[in-house]
Amino acid sequence: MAHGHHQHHAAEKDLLQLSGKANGLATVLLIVGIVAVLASLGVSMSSGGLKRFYHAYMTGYAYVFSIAFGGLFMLLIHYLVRAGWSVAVRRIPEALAGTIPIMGLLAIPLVVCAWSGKGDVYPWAQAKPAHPTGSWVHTIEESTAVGPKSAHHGEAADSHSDDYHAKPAHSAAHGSHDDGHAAAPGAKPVSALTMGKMVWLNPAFWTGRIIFYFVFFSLVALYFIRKSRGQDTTGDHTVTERLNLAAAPLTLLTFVLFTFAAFDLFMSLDPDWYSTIFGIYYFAGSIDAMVATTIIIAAVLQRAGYLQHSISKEHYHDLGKWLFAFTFFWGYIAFSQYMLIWYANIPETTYWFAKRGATTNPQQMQLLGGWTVWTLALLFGRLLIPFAGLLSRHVKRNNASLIFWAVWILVFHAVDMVWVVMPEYELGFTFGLPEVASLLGLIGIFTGSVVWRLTRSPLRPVKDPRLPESLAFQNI
Amino acid sequence: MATITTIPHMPVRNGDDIDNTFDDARIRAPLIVGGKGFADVTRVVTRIALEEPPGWWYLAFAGALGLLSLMGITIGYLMLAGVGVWGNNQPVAWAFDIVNFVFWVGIGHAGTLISAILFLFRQNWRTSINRFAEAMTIFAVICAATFPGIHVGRPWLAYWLFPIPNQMAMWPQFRSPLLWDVFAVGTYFTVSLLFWYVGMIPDLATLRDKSKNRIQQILYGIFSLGWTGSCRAWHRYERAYLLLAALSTPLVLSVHSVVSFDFATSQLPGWHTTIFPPYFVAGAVFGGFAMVLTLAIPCRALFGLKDIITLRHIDNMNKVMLATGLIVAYAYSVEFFTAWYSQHYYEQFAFQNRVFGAAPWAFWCMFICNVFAPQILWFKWARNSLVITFIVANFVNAGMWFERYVIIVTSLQRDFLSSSWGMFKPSWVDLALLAGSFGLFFTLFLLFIKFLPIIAMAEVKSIMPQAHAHGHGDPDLDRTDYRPDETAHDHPGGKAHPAV
Repeated sequence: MAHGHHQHHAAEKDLLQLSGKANGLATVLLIVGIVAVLASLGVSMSSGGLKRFYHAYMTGYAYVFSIAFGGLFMLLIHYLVRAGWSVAVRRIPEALAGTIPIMGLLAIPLVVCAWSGKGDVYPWAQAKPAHPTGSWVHTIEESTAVGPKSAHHGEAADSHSDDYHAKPAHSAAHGSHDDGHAAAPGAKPVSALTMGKMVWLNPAFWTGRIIFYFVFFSLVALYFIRKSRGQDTTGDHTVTERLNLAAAPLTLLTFVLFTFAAFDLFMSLDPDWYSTIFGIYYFAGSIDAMVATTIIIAAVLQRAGYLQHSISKEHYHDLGKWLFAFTFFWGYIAFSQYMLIWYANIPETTYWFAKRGATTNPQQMQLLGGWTVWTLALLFGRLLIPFAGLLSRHVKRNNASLIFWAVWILVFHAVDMVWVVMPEYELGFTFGLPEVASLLGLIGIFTGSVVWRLTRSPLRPVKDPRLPESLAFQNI
Repeated sequence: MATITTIPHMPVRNGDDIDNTFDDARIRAPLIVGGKGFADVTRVVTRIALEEPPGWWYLAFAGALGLLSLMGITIGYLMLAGVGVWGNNQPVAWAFDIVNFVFWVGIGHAGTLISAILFLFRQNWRTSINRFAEAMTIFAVICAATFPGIHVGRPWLAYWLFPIPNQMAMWPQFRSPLLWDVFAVGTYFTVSLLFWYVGMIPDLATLRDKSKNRIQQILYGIFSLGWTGSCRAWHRYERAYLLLAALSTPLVLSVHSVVSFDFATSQLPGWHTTIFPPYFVAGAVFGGFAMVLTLAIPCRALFGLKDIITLRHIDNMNKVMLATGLIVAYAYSVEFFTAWYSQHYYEQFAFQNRVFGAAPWAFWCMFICNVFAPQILWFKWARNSLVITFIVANFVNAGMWFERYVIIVTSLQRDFLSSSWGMFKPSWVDLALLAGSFGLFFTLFLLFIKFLPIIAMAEVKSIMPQAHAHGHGDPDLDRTDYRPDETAHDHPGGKAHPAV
């Protein structure tokens, strides 16, 4: 206990209020972010048009939303399990979760895209899709048969719109869709499978759900943040107890809604494809990225002179364990999804990996070579290398090496998000300036918002009843 | 600062249960109640192993042995007659055998979760329940391993399950998840057994020191490996324990994931779905905790362990059971949604068939037991009621068996072509083997209760306030400044002071 008291007295003198300069930094980050997103739009218009921009934007969006959501989930779990150690670092996930309303605003371009009727990002959102036709299964076959990059997959598949016999089982079930009406010129093919999902995947219902998700996430996040800040002045321990209770149902609801948000926002980029584990896949990555972000923000704040005695090597060690655990968990989930789809080898689902370059067909590889390398980079960079790197206790307790791996994870989380979104743009490898600009732009807006959030309260809780436990905490 | 140093009043319930389930964020509740000291813990626990067992033990043991004999006889008959005596048929080639296998492997998850993952999470309450949860794990895995062993058809060739070099250059199919199962379950069993044994060494030494009987002294002496309780021994012991915990953690995930691959790598609707690995793991923990509660509630009453396995332990286990049950419910829901969303005719059919089709009773049993029944655990009064907890835990035990039945049998009953449809009806051999496996399980468990330390005494002592000498002197005061995370670090080798 002696050690704990000592730690506590030292921590009481810590610098806890961000200086005024932080507001300026937040503004700069926001402006730079917006400029970068606009630059991405500008560059896209000269190479691929709005469709390219929307995909680039979607990539960046998947990235920052995952981290913001991770912050919310961290808060929920912190209260749900009555954690003690994490009190001292809790303001960081609070700041991350505090950006969720902004994430809702940043989803507006995606909603606009869904309502544009062109199906630039979401093929199901076309006002008058060409249908029914073969799905991507065909498109890959057609494109690679004609030759790399030469086939515009829309036309290729359109010309084979009678080619639906590849799925004899479904043609009977969906015969009612085969009546065929005049599609808009240039409309993308949408398979009969997708036509059957239009009850769920249509702009009106989809937008309604997106609004519901973000209103719900925002309310939960703001509730927890507000209560936590209120406790800074009152020191009322019943606040913690009430949040402990509230966390149980809210964790459940948040997780279920997050799953559907992942389905709606990202899985439906390819409306034919489905994977029951997809929500958990996106969840695993988002928690890992959140932990990495928390480590980096804590380290930056400490280097700037804040929280000197509040956050110790012990807290970094625990955060490092989470980083390791969720790197491994991501790998476990990603492997489960990949291996099961690869092994069963059902065309309706394997093509999703094939168009990401996970293929041994020479012609497809010629077309998708960039994605093959990208997929391997994901395997090694997102799982195997950091797994080995983070294994040791010393790495997690050394600030410099822990920061290195946190940055590493954040880079490869971006690689993952690109891998999820960009292969839906068109067959073949697409990654360039628009994607980089959008990613950095959204990171800028997000980071600016986080800094602004951090200025709004002390950098760690000051009267949380479990604060002494957190300050005195030591790993065995 | 908001901390307090006095524990709120803890009312007494059910006659002699001290209710330590209060929620006060300013203080961590004591995990051992009733003013127990180190010597009390030693006395209560060693007495169970060293003294003559009570009358009910003999009755229970006779019952368990009876069921075990039933299993032995049935297996004998099976060997003579062949697996045709089961209800298995075409298309239902996997039925009770695999259902029972998955059921028992699932139960075998709670032990390692409690001893490994909760250890890494610094959940000190695990110390009161980890020993018999681990024992339960090992016995459950033994029950599980029996079923594939007797399903091979030619039991004298069962060793073909293993990749043993041979002159015929015949190898198992390495690409088959069934072989991965052999490796996964084998590894899990080995590591769990090691973990259980290593953890037990200090307590075996206590039994050796406490026993008055020469044979007991010799046997406990051999198995405690010359344990002296020196600082150096404790230090190495702690290291070994931490390493084994870290090794066991991925195994908790891997075993049931690999079991789920048995189904999910196929193309059968209802089996092939990507969420299976994490969903099976959550289900296993769910079923495992239900079995721990089923065993813990009678044990604590019969052996006077109410101050060691307190209401708070029951409360926490109930919460874990509720949480994992909700994960399972989440997986069911996502499966149903995706079956619709896939717009895949056979996927949709498979899930309709579950609810309304060939054997809907199995689905509804599963649903009521696994999804509906645990919802009562949202309420604290239900979690604190031993009767309700025991009933819910048994609902879950049954529900998890039905879940495997639903997945395995109802999916097989309806093949792609209606000409290949069939039904499954268990034979008396199926039912006798299921009952017999409980005989095997309870026989082993009752022997464990009789001969081994069923509470991890050394670990329990390490989380008692007396283990953290902060110089107050007064044991009552000591307890109140108890900090769960500040254990052995301050006192190297002082994880426990075993010789009391």
